[in-house]
Amino acid sequence: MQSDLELLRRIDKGDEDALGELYDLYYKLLSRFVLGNTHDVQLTLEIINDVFMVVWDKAGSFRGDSAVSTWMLGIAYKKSLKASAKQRRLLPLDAVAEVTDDGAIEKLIRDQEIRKVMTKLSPEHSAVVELSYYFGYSYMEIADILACPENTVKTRMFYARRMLRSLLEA
Amino acid sequence: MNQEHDYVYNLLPWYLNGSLHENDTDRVNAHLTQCEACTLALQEEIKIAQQLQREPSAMRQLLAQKEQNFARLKTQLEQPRNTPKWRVNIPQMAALILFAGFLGFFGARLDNDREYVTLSSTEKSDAAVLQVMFQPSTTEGELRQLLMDTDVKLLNGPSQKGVYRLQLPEGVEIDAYTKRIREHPATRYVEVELN
Repeated sequence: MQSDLELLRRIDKGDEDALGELYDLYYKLLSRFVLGNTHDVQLTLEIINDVFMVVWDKAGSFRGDSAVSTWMLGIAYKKSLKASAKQRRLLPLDAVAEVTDDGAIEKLIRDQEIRKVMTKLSPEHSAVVELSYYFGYSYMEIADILACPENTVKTRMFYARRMLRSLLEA
Repeated sequence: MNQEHDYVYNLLPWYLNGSLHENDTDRVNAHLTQCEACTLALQEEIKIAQQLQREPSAMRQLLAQKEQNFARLKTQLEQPRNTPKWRVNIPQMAALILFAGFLGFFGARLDNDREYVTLSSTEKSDAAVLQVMFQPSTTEGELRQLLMDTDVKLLNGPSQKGVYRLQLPEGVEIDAYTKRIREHPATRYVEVELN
């Protein structure tokens, strides 16, 4: 199997097979990440292809400062934000943070309510949660992907945890 | 103590996924032995993380459509290699563009021509700004699509002579980006605005 960088070099030369290999490698990862931000299958499919169009156009300018996966997740994040803003399907933070009461956390978790709850987080917050809990990235790596300071990642996580708890207990 | 508690509490998600540096991991371990609140918070987060590990049901749909989606991507790639993937086919409406002023535009100083009707919120920026005239047949929808596809922000426009001011994204190479927009079939005239 070729390295990601080698694939990018081939893509830069217009090799569609190399793009296909990269697509195979990262389709699932991008699907999961974008779906976590948009909660919409059709939109996710479109955004994944938008990401690969950027890869196709800019493979030659990738400097290798980060992992290729980090670079692609960063592109996917920006595309997700833009699409979500356009669709206006996500609740603003203020609308989410106020739910309180009754600690029925066990029951709700058993019922897999977590997915519903995640749809109520903003893309900025759900990205941090998914990248940490599902993808296992460090906060430094997440800062790299989201192109924001490390403290911003910590702050977003702090509020996301609070909102998750609040919503799960509702 | 409170400071230490806050510090550790904020690190718990990354303690959980094992991505902390060793010294932070030690610090969390030490705190957990004496802080019931953080221990409980950690237990809750373990449960949340376990739930998030499960694939959402929509993932099945996405995985099933992988080949089909790649085929769509390949169709998109059939456009020339270095052209942006804009699909602006400029057919109908010229309502936004006052093309009548186009010929007179070249001799005029644009600085005197700033009474714009704003299409979106007006913002000032230090980033490079382009002055752009579009083809007369460009529709508002096509214009908005172009802005979205290129990450260019509409500052204001059109002027009386049909000129829009577009702000480039930060960090792009101005000449290359300007060339890219100039080559777009929807644009008729593109110049970098001088400060």
